[in-house]
Amino acid sequence: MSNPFLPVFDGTLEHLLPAGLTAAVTGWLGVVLLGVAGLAAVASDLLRQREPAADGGRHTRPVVPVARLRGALFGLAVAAALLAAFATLVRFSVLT
Amino acid sequence: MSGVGTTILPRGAAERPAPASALPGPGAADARHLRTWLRCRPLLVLSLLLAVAVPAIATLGWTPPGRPVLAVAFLTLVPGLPVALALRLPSSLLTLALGVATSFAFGLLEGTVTLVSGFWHPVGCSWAALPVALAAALVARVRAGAARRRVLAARLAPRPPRPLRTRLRAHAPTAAGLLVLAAATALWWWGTRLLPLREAGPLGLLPLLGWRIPLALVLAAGVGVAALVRPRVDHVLLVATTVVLALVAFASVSVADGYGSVPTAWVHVGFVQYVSVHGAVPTGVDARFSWPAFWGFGAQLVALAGVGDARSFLVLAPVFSALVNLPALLVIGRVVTGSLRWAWVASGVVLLTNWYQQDYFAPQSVAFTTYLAVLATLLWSARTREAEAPSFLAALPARARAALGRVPEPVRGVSTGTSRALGLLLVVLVAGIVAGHQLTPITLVLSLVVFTVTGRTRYRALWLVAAVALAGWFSYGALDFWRGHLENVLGDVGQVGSSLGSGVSQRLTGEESYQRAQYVRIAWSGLLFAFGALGVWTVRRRSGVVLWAGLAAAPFGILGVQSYGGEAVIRCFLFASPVLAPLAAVALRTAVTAPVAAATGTAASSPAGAPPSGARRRDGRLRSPALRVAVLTPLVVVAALVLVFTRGLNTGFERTSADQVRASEDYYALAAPGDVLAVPAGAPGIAPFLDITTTRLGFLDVDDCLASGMSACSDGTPPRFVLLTSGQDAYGRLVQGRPTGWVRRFGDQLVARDGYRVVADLPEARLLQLSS
Repeated sequence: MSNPFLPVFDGTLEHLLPAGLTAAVTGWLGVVLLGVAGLAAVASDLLRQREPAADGGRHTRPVVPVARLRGALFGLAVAAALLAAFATLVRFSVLT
Repeated sequence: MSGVGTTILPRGAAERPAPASALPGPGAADARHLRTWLRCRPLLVLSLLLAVAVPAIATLGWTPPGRPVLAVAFLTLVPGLPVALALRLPSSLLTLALGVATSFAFGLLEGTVTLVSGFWHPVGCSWAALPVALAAALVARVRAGAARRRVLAARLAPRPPRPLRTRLRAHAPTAAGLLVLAAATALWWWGTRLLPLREAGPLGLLPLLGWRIPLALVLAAGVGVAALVRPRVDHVLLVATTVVLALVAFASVSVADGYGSVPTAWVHVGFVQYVSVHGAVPTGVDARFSWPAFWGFGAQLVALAGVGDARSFLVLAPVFSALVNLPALLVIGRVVTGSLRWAWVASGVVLLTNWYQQDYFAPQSVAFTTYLAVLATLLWSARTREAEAPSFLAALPARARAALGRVPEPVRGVSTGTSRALGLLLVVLVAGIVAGHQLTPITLVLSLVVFTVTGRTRYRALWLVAAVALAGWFSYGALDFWRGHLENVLGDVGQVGSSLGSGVSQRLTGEESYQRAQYVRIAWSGLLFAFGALGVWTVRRRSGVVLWAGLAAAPFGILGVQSYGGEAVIRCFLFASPVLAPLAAVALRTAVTAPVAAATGTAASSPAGAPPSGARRRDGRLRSPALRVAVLTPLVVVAALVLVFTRGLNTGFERTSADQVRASEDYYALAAPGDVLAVPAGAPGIAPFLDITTTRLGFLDVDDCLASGMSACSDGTPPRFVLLTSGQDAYGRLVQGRPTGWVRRFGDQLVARDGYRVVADLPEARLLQLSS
């Protein structure tokens, strides 16, 4: 299996984005994306604790709006994590 | 403060909650909570006392006897135990596991924050744990009080007090067992005084044991087996047995020498000393400083203990690690085997197969304990009502479909609020692991993914949190580590064969008998793996089998990411063993109970783990406890001896003799800033372990030195000091194929030809200084 990080080492990612955006994603924007991904993931898990078990649990009751919010937060977390992963690869490419 | 926890229930028999099974509905959960509270209350009081006393002693600069022990207890229990008790979980073992892990995570994160922010005040910051502990203790007390009121409202008849004679009789076997274990410990101690460690050869420690230490093993194994086969498992004796076995297997060499035996641990002593002195981590010195949490944690330990450096914690670190890992291992074992008795067997399997030696004074040791607590918590809460599948393969598609949408049932007696608080605590533990160690977070992410894809956790996004935290710390926190050579760092990704090769085949070098001994190590781990696989097959129809098999396999995913300097395979087994061992225990249980089941027509893998009482009556082999002890004790002794053999194989070159330490100290007495201390390349050693940025370690290619002189093998500038030890000699003999005494001859040549003089000539170490 070849190393999937080859585009990082050969500098492909370094010039993929405009210079300003590259500077942002390798700096503050990367941190923000990581933070948003982490917080949204935690929030989605906290909301899930109120949901009943799929096979009929006790002590909980279904709350549809909360379930939707939880789903949206999880989607946000995944999206932000993907962007953060890309930002991290760009950061590797630029700084290595 | 003593009032906390002492007024929840009146003293005496009424304090004992009735068995949960005797209570209807919610009362059962309250009784379980109350039992957990009553069991852990003494530890809570202790942790609150420690939360005040240890920072106070350190602030005032007092040096009472046992101050290092108090410091260790502080960092182990404060503020984690009060926080875990405040969660009011209906499991004492899980509460203990989370308590220890939370304290570790708190210390790791505190160390990281203070070092990164430049606010290094180890004693002052230790006071930060007090308000957390007090607030959590208050919450725990209030919640326990509510449970007590509900239990009393259920008008349960208190258990009548037992007569003193009955109680004494009930505790007599425990007392007798403890006496035997004390005798075993004394025998072991006596044996360590007489260990001829200088004679350690290709077979390591085992041939040197004499009769005292094996006898100690026999006594300890006998007590442990007897405690295990009693009608009611004797947990006190089993904990004590674990400690004695860990002492014998993990600490014999260190205790005999008086110094910790793993050279890397001495490097860590130096790292911690740097943080203690400078209040910061150096840049450009060592990659491990990019994960500063443990160094801050260790420096706080040194400050609170009032010792010069961390070397005094090295000797018993592996035993401490075995002890603090025990609650989480029991939780995991209980979930997989369905029986606390077999959970003890599983924890014994973990102990007896642990030759990996990753439990010394090191970041991975603390991170592993925290990782175990996360794993235990998630396994404990992974409950579903899914019925047993009639066929393993036929049910797989249905299982896969069900897993995608499954939200497991909440644990009975755990409210939504508690579940959320537990989720937040897990995030804290994940953060501590990520900041504390390089490799553990990767395994953690893999394991959390397994929980999510099998639909066995209500914290389905926790893997994402861990992955984001890992990426964030690696990218921003460990910049010093990867900047400029990322290709080397990530070059192992996808190179599974290479990682496997460097972990196994490249280690099988050196003297022939030493190589054969290495095969025993591989076989011992292979046996665990085989029994684990057998266990998976045994429980193939159980609803949790995919999760357990996945958790046992997930750590091997490390091989696709990192070779970790050839240590990845060892780490894979280390991380897999907490789940492999219970699966192996299930296989063992089947082997033990199958004949009985065949004779009586009952299922071999009953959840309770013990054969039915009828079977006991009908099967003469199982009826007599004495017979069981007589049959099982030799098996445990043999396993323990294999552990001593596999664990102590490298004793010849991994031990740290008093002479090595003394020569190293002589070096510090003579060295000036900028000096270089050289040692033969490849050979492990402990020097220089202090003042890591003041003087430098250099490596000599001995063959070049012998052929062309010191100038040729040291880049033209001969080092001012050379340290030669018996450990280097043993390493060269066993691993590099050099003749016996090569180190002494090399030293003699340096003196005769290259202008060095001997400034310290000890039986096991020589320090040479370049004559000016």
